[in-house]
Amino acid sequence: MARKNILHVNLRKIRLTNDEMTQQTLADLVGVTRQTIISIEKGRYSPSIVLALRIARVFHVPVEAIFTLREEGHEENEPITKQ
Amino acid sequence: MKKMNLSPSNKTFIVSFILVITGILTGGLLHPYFYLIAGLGLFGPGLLRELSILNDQDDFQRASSRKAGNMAFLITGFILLLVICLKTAGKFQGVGGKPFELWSGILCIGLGIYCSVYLSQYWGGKKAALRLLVISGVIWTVFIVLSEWRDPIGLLLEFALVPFPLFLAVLLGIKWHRYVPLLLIPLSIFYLLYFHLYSISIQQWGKLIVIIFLVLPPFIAGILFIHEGIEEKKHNRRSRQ
Repeated sequence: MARKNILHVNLRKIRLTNDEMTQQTLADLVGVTRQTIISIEKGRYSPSIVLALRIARVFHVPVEAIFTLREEGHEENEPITKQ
Repeated sequence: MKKMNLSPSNKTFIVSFILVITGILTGGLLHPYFYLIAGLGLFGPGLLRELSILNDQDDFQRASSRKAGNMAFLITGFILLLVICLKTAGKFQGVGGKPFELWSGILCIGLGIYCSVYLSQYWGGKKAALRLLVISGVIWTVFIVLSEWRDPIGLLLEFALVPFPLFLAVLLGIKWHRYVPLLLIPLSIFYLLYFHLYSISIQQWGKLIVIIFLVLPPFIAGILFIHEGIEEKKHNRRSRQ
Protein backbone atom coordinates (compact mmCIF):
# COMPACT_ATOMS: atom_id res chain seq x y z
CA MET A 1 0.00 0.00 0.00
CA ALA A 2 1.31 3.47 -0.89
CA ARG A 3 2.43 5.65 1.98
CA LYS A 4 0.44 8.73 2.81
CA ASN A 5 1.71 12.11 1.67
CA ILE A 6 1.45 14.91 4.18
CA LEU A 7 1.36 18.57 3.23
CA HIS A 8 3.50 20.52 5.67
CA VAL A 9 2.43 24.17 5.82
CA ASN A 10 4.84 26.88 6.86
CA LEU A 11 2.47 29.76 6.17
CA ARG A 12 1.98 31.07 9.70
CA LYS A 13 5.71 31.37 10.29
CA ILE A 14 6.30 33.19 6.99
CA ARG A 15 3.32 35.47 7.57
CA LEU A 16 4.55 36.46 11.02
CA THR A 17 8.09 37.11 9.80
CA ASN A 18 6.65 39.46 7.18
CA ASP A 19 5.80 42.39 9.49
CA GLU A 20 3.38 40.15 11.40
CA MET A 21 0.93 40.25 8.51
CA THR A 22 -2.58 39.46 9.71
CA GLN A 23 -4.64 36.61 8.32
CA GLN A 24 -7.20 39.15 7.09
CA THR A 25 -4.56 41.15 5.17
CA LEU A 26 -3.24 38.02 3.50
CA ALA A 27 -6.79 36.89 2.74
CA ASP A 28 -7.54 40.24 1.08
CA LEU A 29 -4.30 40.13 -0.92
CA VAL A 30 -4.99 36.68 -2.36
CA GLY A 31 -8.76 37.17 -2.67
CA VAL A 32 -10.08 34.57 -0.22
CA THR A 33 -11.84 34.66 3.15
CA ARG A 34 -9.92 34.75 6.44
CA GLN A 35 -11.37 31.35 7.29
CA THR A 36 -9.60 29.91 4.24
CA ILE A 37 -6.24 31.18 5.51
CA ILE A 38 -7.00 29.76 8.99
CA SER A 39 -7.85 26.36 7.48
CA ILE A 40 -4.69 26.31 5.35
CA GLU A 41 -2.53 27.22 8.36
CA LYS A 42 -4.15 24.53 10.49
CA GLY A 43 -3.59 21.96 7.73
CA ARG A 44 -7.33 21.31 7.39
CA TYR A 45 -7.36 22.40 3.75
CA SER A 46 -4.82 21.84 0.98
CA PRO A 47 -5.05 24.85 -1.34
CA SER A 48 -5.27 24.62 -5.12
CA ILE A 49 -2.08 25.18 -7.12
CA VAL A 50 -3.34 28.61 -8.18
CA LEU A 51 -3.99 29.71 -4.61
CA ALA A 52 -0.64 28.31 -3.42
CA LEU A 53 1.13 30.29 -6.16
CA ARG A 54 -0.81 33.44 -5.29
CA ILE A 55 0.18 33.11 -1.61
CA ALA A 56 3.82 32.52 -2.55
CA ARG A 57 3.75 35.60 -4.78
CA VAL A 58 2.61 37.79 -1.88
CA PHE A 59 5.73 36.85 0.10
CA HIS A 60 8.08 36.75 -2.94
CA VAL A 61 9.15 33.20 -2.12
CA PRO A 62 8.90 29.92 -4.01
CA VAL A 63 5.86 27.74 -3.23
CA GLU A 64 8.16 25.15 -1.63
CA ALA A 65 9.10 27.65 1.06
CA ILE A 66 5.50 27.59 2.25
CA PHE A 67 4.21 24.15 1.27
CA THR A 68 6.31 21.02 1.39
CA LEU A 69 5.22 17.49 0.70
CA ARG A 70 6.36 14.84 3.12
CA GLU A 71 5.83 11.15 3.13
CA GLU A 72 4.78 9.60 6.42
CA GLY A 73 7.96 8.61 8.24
CA HIS A 74 10.28 10.42 5.77
CA GLU A 75 12.35 13.56 6.24
CA GLU A 76 11.36 16.83 4.55
CA ASN A 77 13.83 16.85 1.63
CA GLU A 78 13.98 13.13 1.07
CA PRO A 79 12.70 12.28 -2.43
CA ILE A 80 9.31 10.58 -2.57
CA THR A 81 9.70 7.21 -4.23
CA LYS A 82 7.15 4.84 -5.71
CA GLN A 83 6.32 2.10 -3.23
CA MET B 1 -19.02 54.50 11.74
CA LYS B 2 -17.16 51.48 10.36
CA LYS B 3 -18.60 50.32 7.05
CA MET B 4 -19.78 46.72 7.14
CA ASN B 5 -17.69 44.72 4.70
CA LEU B 6 -19.64 41.70 3.55
CA SER B 7 -17.93 39.00 1.51
CA PRO B 8 -19.65 38.06 -1.81
CA SER B 9 -20.71 34.68 -0.35
CA ASN B 10 -22.30 36.40 2.65
CA LYS B 11 -24.26 38.69 0.32
CA THR B 12 -25.53 35.62 -1.54
CA PHE B 13 -26.44 34.02 1.79
CA ILE B 14 -28.53 37.05 2.80
CA VAL B 15 -30.39 37.06 -0.54
CA SER B 16 -30.97 33.29 -0.24
CA PHE B 17 -32.21 33.66 3.34
CA ILE B 18 -34.70 36.37 2.31
CA LEU B 19 -35.94 34.18 -0.58
CA VAL B 20 -36.36 31.16 1.75
CA ILE B 21 -38.33 33.13 4.36
CA THR B 22 -40.46 34.80 1.65
CA GLY B 23 -41.09 31.43 -0.01
CA ILE B 24 -42.10 29.72 3.24
CA LEU B 25 -44.42 32.57 4.26
CA THR B 26 -46.08 33.08 0.88
CA GLY B 27 -46.21 29.31 0.26
CA GLY B 28 -47.99 28.77 3.56
CA LEU B 29 -50.28 31.78 3.39
CA LEU B 30 -51.07 32.31 -0.30
CA HIS B 31 -50.45 29.31 -2.54
CA PRO B 32 -48.17 26.23 -2.34
CA TYR B 33 -46.53 27.21 -5.64
CA PHE B 34 -44.81 30.02 -3.78
CA TYR B 35 -42.67 27.39 -2.01
CA LEU B 36 -40.69 27.44 -5.25
CA ILE B 37 -39.32 30.82 -4.15
CA ALA B 38 -37.79 29.06 -1.12
CA GLY B 39 -36.42 26.44 -3.54
CA LEU B 40 -34.74 29.20 -5.53
CA GLY B 41 -33.11 30.49 -2.35
CA LEU B 42 -31.99 27.03 -1.21
CA PHE B 43 -30.73 25.53 -4.44
CA GLY B 44 -30.42 28.45 -6.89
CA PRO B 45 -27.02 29.78 -5.75
CA GLY B 46 -25.46 26.28 -5.78
CA LEU B 47 -26.76 25.62 -9.29
CA LEU B 48 -25.55 28.99 -10.54
CA ARG B 49 -22.11 28.30 -9.00
CA GLU B 50 -21.84 24.92 -10.68
CA LEU B 51 -22.81 26.53 -14.00
CA SER B 52 -20.03 29.13 -13.41
CA ILE B 53 -22.58 31.95 -13.56
CA LEU B 54 -22.14 32.93 -9.91
CA ASN B 55 -18.58 33.30 -8.68
CA ASP B 56 -18.92 34.32 -5.03
CA GLN B 57 -16.96 31.57 -3.28
CA ASP B 58 -13.24 31.00 -2.91
CA ASP B 59 -11.51 27.63 -3.43
CA PHE B 60 -12.00 26.48 0.14
CA GLN B 61 -15.68 27.41 0.29
CA ARG B 62 -16.28 25.65 -3.03
CA ALA B 63 -14.49 22.50 -1.82
CA SER B 64 -16.50 22.57 1.43
CA SER B 65 -19.80 23.00 -0.46
CA ARG B 66 -18.99 20.13 -2.79
CA LYS B 67 -18.08 17.77 0.02
CA ALA B 68 -21.21 18.77 1.95
CA GLY B 69 -23.37 18.34 -1.16
CA ASN B 70 -21.93 14.90 -1.81
CA MET B 71 -22.49 13.76 1.79
CA ALA B 72 -26.05 15.14 1.78
CA PHE B 73 -26.77 13.38 -1.52
CA LEU B 74 -25.41 10.04 -0.29
CA ILE B 75 -27.14 9.99 3.10
CA THR B 76 -30.45 11.47 1.90
CA GLY B 77 -30.41 9.11 -1.07
CA PHE B 78 -30.01 6.18 1.29
CA ILE B 79 -32.85 7.39 3.54
CA LEU B 80 -35.06 7.99 0.52
CA LEU B 81 -34.37 4.49 -0.74
CA LEU B 82 -35.24 3.12 2.70
CA VAL B 83 -38.57 4.99 2.66
CA ILE B 84 -39.30 3.70 -0.87
CA CYS B 85 -38.52 0.12 0.29
CA LEU B 86 -40.76 0.45 3.34
CA LYS B 87 -43.54 1.99 1.29
CA THR B 88 -43.28 -0.70 -1.37
CA ALA B 89 -43.29 -3.39 1.30
CA GLY B 90 -46.50 -1.90 2.62
CA LYS B 91 -45.19 -0.69 5.96
CA PHE B 92 -46.20 2.90 5.32
CA GLN B 93 -49.47 2.53 3.48
CA GLY B 94 -50.79 5.87 4.52
CA VAL B 95 -47.74 7.97 3.75
CA GLY B 96 -49.22 9.11 0.44
CA GLY B 97 -52.00 10.86 2.37
CA LYS B 98 -49.56 13.22 4.07
CA PRO B 99 -46.82 13.74 1.54
CA PHE B 100 -45.89 17.21 2.72
CA GLU B 101 -44.50 16.12 6.10
CA LEU B 102 -42.70 13.10 4.67
CA TRP B 103 -40.95 14.73 1.73
CA SER B 104 -40.27 18.01 3.51
CA GLY B 105 -38.85 15.94 6.41
CA ILE B 106 -36.47 14.16 4.03
CA LEU B 107 -35.59 17.49 2.45
CA CYS B 108 -34.83 18.87 5.95
CA ILE B 109 -32.56 15.90 6.68
CA GLY B 110 -30.66 16.55 3.44
CA LEU B 111 -30.33 20.24 4.21
CA GLY B 112 -29.32 19.50 7.83
CA ILE B 113 -26.56 17.15 6.66
CA TYR B 114 -25.40 19.67 4.07
CA CYS B 115 -25.21 22.47 6.66
CA SER B 116 -23.47 20.31 9.30
CA VAL B 117 -20.81 19.01 6.89
CA TYR B 118 -20.27 22.43 5.33
CA LEU B 119 -19.85 24.11 8.70
CA SER B 120 -17.56 21.37 10.04
CA GLN B 121 -15.40 21.79 6.93
CA TYR B 122 -15.47 25.55 7.16
CA TRP B 123 -15.06 26.15 10.90
CA GLY B 124 -13.62 22.82 11.99
CA GLY B 125 -15.55 20.11 13.85
CA LYS B 126 -15.31 21.61 17.34
CA LYS B 127 -16.42 25.11 16.45
CA ALA B 128 -19.25 23.80 14.24
CA ALA B 129 -20.46 21.46 17.00
CA LEU B 130 -20.41 24.22 19.61
CA ARG B 131 -22.31 26.61 17.35
CA LEU B 132 -24.85 23.92 16.42
CA LEU B 133 -25.51 23.26 20.12
CA VAL B 134 -25.81 26.97 20.94
CA ILE B 135 -28.24 27.57 18.05
CA SER B 136 -30.45 24.57 18.91
CA GLY B 137 -30.28 25.51 22.62
CA VAL B 138 -31.44 29.04 21.84
CA ILE B 139 -34.22 27.81 19.50
CA TRP B 140 -35.54 25.45 22.22
CA THR B 141 -35.27 28.14 24.90
CA VAL B 142 -37.32 30.56 22.78
CA PHE B 143 -39.86 27.82 22.02
CA ILE B 144 -40.19 26.86 25.71
CA VAL B 145 -40.45 30.46 26.90
CA LEU B 146 -43.16 31.19 24.31
CA SER B 147 -45.16 28.07 25.13
CA GLU B 148 -44.72 27.94 28.93
CA TRP B 149 -44.37 31.56 30.01
CA ARG B 150 -47.56 31.40 32.10
CA ASP B 151 -46.29 28.42 34.12
CA PRO B 152 -42.84 29.09 35.70
CA ILE B 153 -42.48 25.54 37.13
CA GLY B 154 -43.28 23.94 33.78
CA LEU B 155 -40.92 26.38 32.12
CA LEU B 156 -38.07 25.43 34.47
CA LEU B 157 -38.71 21.71 34.08
CA GLU B 158 -38.78 21.90 30.31
CA PHE B 159 -35.71 24.10 30.30
CA ALA B 160 -33.88 21.52 32.45
CA LEU B 161 -34.94 18.74 30.09
CA VAL B 162 -33.97 20.20 26.72
CA PRO B 163 -31.92 23.40 26.40
CA PHE B 164 -29.96 23.00 29.65
CA PRO B 165 -28.10 19.78 28.66
CA LEU B 166 -27.27 21.42 25.30
CA PHE B 167 -25.81 24.49 27.00
CA LEU B 168 -24.00 22.26 29.50
CA ALA B 169 -22.47 20.34 26.59
CA VAL B 170 -21.30 23.67 25.14
CA LEU B 171 -19.56 24.59 28.39
CA LEU B 172 -17.96 21.16 28.71
CA GLY B 173 -17.13 20.97 25.01
CA ILE B 174 -14.97 24.09 25.14
CA LYS B 175 -12.43 22.28 27.32
CA TRP B 176 -13.19 18.57 27.11
CA HIS B 177 -14.48 18.15 23.58
CA ARG B 178 -13.14 14.58 23.35
CA TYR B 179 -15.36 13.43 26.21
CA VAL B 180 -18.55 15.39 25.44
CA PRO B 181 -19.80 12.81 22.89
CA LEU B 182 -20.24 10.54 25.94
CA LEU B 183 -22.92 12.99 27.07
CA LEU B 184 -24.33 14.02 23.69
CA ILE B 185 -24.93 10.69 21.97
CA PRO B 186 -26.70 9.12 25.00
CA LEU B 187 -28.66 12.38 25.30
CA SER B 188 -29.97 12.06 21.74
CA ILE B 189 -30.90 8.41 22.43
CA PHE B 190 -32.61 9.51 25.66
CA TYR B 191 -34.70 12.10 23.75
CA LEU B 192 -35.61 9.47 21.17
CA LEU B 193 -36.84 7.08 23.87
CA TYR B 194 -38.27 9.59 26.36
CA PHE B 195 -40.43 11.38 23.79
CA HIS B 196 -41.33 8.07 22.03
CA LEU B 197 -39.92 9.40 18.79
CA TYR B 198 -38.78 5.98 17.61
CA SER B 199 -42.25 4.86 16.52
CA ILE B 200 -43.13 7.12 13.65
CA SER B 201 -46.47 6.30 12.13
CA ILE B 202 -48.46 8.03 9.46
CA GLN B 203 -50.41 10.22 11.85
CA GLN B 204 -47.22 11.40 13.53
CA TRP B 205 -44.97 12.74 10.79
CA GLY B 206 -44.71 15.88 12.87
CA LYS B 207 -42.43 13.76 15.03
CA LEU B 208 -39.91 13.77 12.22
CA ILE B 209 -39.61 17.52 12.60
CA VAL B 210 -39.07 17.07 16.37
CA ILE B 211 -36.39 14.46 15.64
CA ILE B 212 -34.68 16.90 13.30
CA PHE B 213 -34.61 19.68 15.86
CA LEU B 214 -34.27 17.67 19.09
CA VAL B 215 -32.48 14.38 18.46
CA LEU B 216 -30.24 15.27 15.53
CA PRO B 217 -28.40 18.36 16.92
CA PRO B 218 -26.82 16.54 19.94
CA PHE B 219 -26.18 13.47 17.79
CA ILE B 220 -24.53 15.45 14.97
CA ALA B 221 -22.57 17.56 17.50
CA GLY B 222 -21.34 14.34 19.15
CA ILE B 223 -20.19 12.97 15.77
CA LEU B 224 -18.49 16.28 14.97
CA PHE B 225 -16.63 16.23 18.31
CA ILE B 226 -15.52 12.61 17.68
CA HIS B 227 -14.36 13.59 14.16
CA GLU B 228 -12.47 16.56 15.60
CA GLY B 229 -10.78 14.30 18.16
CA ILE B 230 -9.62 11.91 15.39
CA GLU B 231 -8.37 14.82 13.25
CA GLU B 232 -6.54 16.26 16.26
CA LYS B 233 -4.81 12.94 16.90
CA LYS B 234 -3.73 12.74 13.26
CA HIS B 235 -2.50 16.33 13.38
CA ASN B 236 -0.51 15.70 16.58
CA ARG B 237 1.05 12.61 15.04
CA ARG B 238 2.09 14.59 11.96
CA SER B 239 3.51 17.41 14.11
CA ARG B 240 5.65 14.96 16.05
CA GLN B 241 7.20 13.61 12.82
